[in-house]
Amino acid sequence: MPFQLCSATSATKDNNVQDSEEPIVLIFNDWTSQVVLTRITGKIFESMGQKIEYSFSTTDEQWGALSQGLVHVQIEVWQGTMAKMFNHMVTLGKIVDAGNHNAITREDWWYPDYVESLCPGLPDWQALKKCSAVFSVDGSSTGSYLSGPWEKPEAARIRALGLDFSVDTVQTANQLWSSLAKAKENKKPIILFNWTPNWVEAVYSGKFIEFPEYDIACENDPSWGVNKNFNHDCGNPKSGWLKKAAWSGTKNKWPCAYSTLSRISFTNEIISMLAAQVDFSGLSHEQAAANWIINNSETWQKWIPEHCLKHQGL
Amino acid sequence: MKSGDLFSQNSISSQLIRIVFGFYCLFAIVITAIQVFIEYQHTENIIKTELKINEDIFASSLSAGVWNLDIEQIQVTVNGMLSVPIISGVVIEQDNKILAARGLIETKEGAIYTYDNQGELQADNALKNNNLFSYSFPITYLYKGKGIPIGNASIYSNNTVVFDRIEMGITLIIVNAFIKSFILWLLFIWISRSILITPLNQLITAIKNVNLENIGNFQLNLKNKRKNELTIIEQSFMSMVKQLKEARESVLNSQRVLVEKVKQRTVDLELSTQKAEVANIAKSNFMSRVSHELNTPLNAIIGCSHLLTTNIASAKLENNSQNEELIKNIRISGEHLNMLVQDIFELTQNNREKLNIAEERVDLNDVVLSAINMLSTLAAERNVTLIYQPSPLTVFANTLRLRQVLLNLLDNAIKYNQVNGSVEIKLQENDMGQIKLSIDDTGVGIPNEDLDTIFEPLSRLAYAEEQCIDGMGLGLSIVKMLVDRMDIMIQVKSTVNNGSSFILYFSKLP
Repeated sequence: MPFQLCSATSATKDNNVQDSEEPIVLIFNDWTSQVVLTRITGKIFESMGQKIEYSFSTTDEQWGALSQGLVHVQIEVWQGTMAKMFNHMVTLGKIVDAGNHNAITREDWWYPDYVESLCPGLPDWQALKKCSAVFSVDGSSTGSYLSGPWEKPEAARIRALGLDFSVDTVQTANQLWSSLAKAKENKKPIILFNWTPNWVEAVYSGKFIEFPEYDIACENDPSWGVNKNFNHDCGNPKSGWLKKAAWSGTKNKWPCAYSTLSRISFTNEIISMLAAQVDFSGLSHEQAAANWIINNSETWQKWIPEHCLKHQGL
Repeated sequence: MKSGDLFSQNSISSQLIRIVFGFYCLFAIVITAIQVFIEYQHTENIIKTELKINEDIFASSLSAGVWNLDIEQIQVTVNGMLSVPIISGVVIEQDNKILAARGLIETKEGAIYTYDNQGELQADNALKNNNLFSYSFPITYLYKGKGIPIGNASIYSNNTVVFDRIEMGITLIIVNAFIKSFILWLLFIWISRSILITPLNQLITAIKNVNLENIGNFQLNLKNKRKNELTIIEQSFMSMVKQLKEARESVLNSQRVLVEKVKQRTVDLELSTQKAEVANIAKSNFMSRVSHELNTPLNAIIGCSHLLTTNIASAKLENNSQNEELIKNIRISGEHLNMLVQDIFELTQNNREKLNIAEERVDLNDVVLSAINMLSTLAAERNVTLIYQPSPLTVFANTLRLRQVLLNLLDNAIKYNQVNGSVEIKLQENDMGQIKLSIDDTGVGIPNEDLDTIFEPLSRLAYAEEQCIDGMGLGLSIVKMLVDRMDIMIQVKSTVNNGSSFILYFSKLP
């Protein structure tokens, strides 16, 4: 886009704003909504004449990559699983908080509704103490909790709350959903990791396990909560935030892109819808993103600062 | 000097030992110091290598922690690293900022700081001279197949760790060096004593104790088991002592001979002096005697001549008997004077040159009878009886000289005889054909002390002097001289106041 590059150069001179011509690297994670939102963001940056690249990273190593400037933008930072590292990196100044989405999130143990009849007392977590054997996959008294590859202190929580469960981890979100579909089809008891916003809530009726209310002290003070000896004797936040994160140098290197990123905000509904288009309706991530860009141009163009927009030819 | 004294003093051997051992100690100290230095360097390199190994051990953990800036994980890892005994400090840095630090670390400016177990700087005062050494390695994170440098780790160790590691080794090195030096010293002492000091001391003692008076018993045995310079010295010294001994013996012998010669010469000189004195006395006596003896007949001749002259002048010619007596006396005195002169002549002639005496067969009986006849008057005057039983025996001699011998012997036997004494002449021939002539008198006899000197010239018995017996003491000397010339042996036996016996032994006729 030679024209756009020339425009960007002139805009810089006029407004003292200059985005680097180096590409912005956006992080892909391994769940649908994140991938679709990342592609939408990428398309918005591209619309601004900014070069972009995508780079897959697990949630475990994305923080190091962000802090080193190897990648620059993470569009979905969930409080329930990433708050600790996010806050840590922000505190160290390695990454910057690029603002919240207009969404409330929750990540925790989840079960489809039919399981309540198999384990009376749910969604209260105490019920799990009595019917852990119901969720056993090998006939023992130890129940099975199906988790994803994301960083979560599940084992610590099981220990702190005195549950007789083991954690069975799968490598992708799709494996979670296929296990859920299979269990529902057979009406077998299942407890798995789930989050909201997610397309699952639109397809499957179910509830999160109600663990003791989250408190920051739950993670740092063993004396807090039902178990005075261990941390993590609580659930994840029930009204968690969903943030965007950027490499600490992003603001200076790509000021227009960073300003745009800070304005980007998706709601629970949009996120669920986009995830469902892919996971349930069968669209590709690219198709879902492109559709949304086409159908919501007024929305995303407002996110581009005006002084950046008028020189982008958009 | 005892060997210990010698050893403690500046003897060559002790100086040699001190110098050699001193240089050995110097070299031992230098080599030990080099060995310790090399051991230190080697151990330090080993520790540095071990520090490198810790990179492999902790790199992945550090990588994950630094990647996520998980300070808690980094600190746990650092604590784990610090538990390694050789690690005295660890610092993890990113972008020149310290993420975590423990123990002793050194800044790029060279300042040394101490961080406690909580990673807090313990004190502002920098520690100095801790001789830290470190190994630094980059912390990388394998991101999408590519190693991303995300920080730097420095692992520190110090000389205390090295010294702790090599403490036993250095102790063993030093103990080893000390033991070797001690053993070498003992060996030096022992060997030098056995092959140098002791033989040298023996040699010195032997040299000092060499006694010329007792050099014949001198012995030197250095007991060297191997031939060396000392053996040569020992052999040379013993050879020198032997030569000295021989030289001394030669000198002593020469001295002894010289002393003997001096003594002999002294004795000879004394004898010569005595002989000269005796000769001088004899000469004086001889001259006095000769003068006296010659004077007597000369006076008689002169007196008789005056009387005879007076008688003639006074015409007392009628008294012829008196004149005849005077003339007879003059003749007798003349004959006596002639005999004296003849004796002196013969004696002196004999002393000057050997008489040439012609020998022949001689009728001994005739010679004896002629001698008896010639002395019969004298014997009658002295009232001495001459006894002779004629025997027809022949001997080999000179008639005149033999008669003179018999005359002298018979004259003495008559003169020194007792009044009314006798002289017996006997001739005998034994079975061997040897003829013996004996003249036995009944005279005064000869004292034993005079028997050895009766044949000496001018030797006279005290009895002759006392009794004014006429004679010069030349008769027996002439007898001895003549019988020796004629190979006739003469023997004397005498008893004082009982007579003497002169025996002549004639050799068998050829």
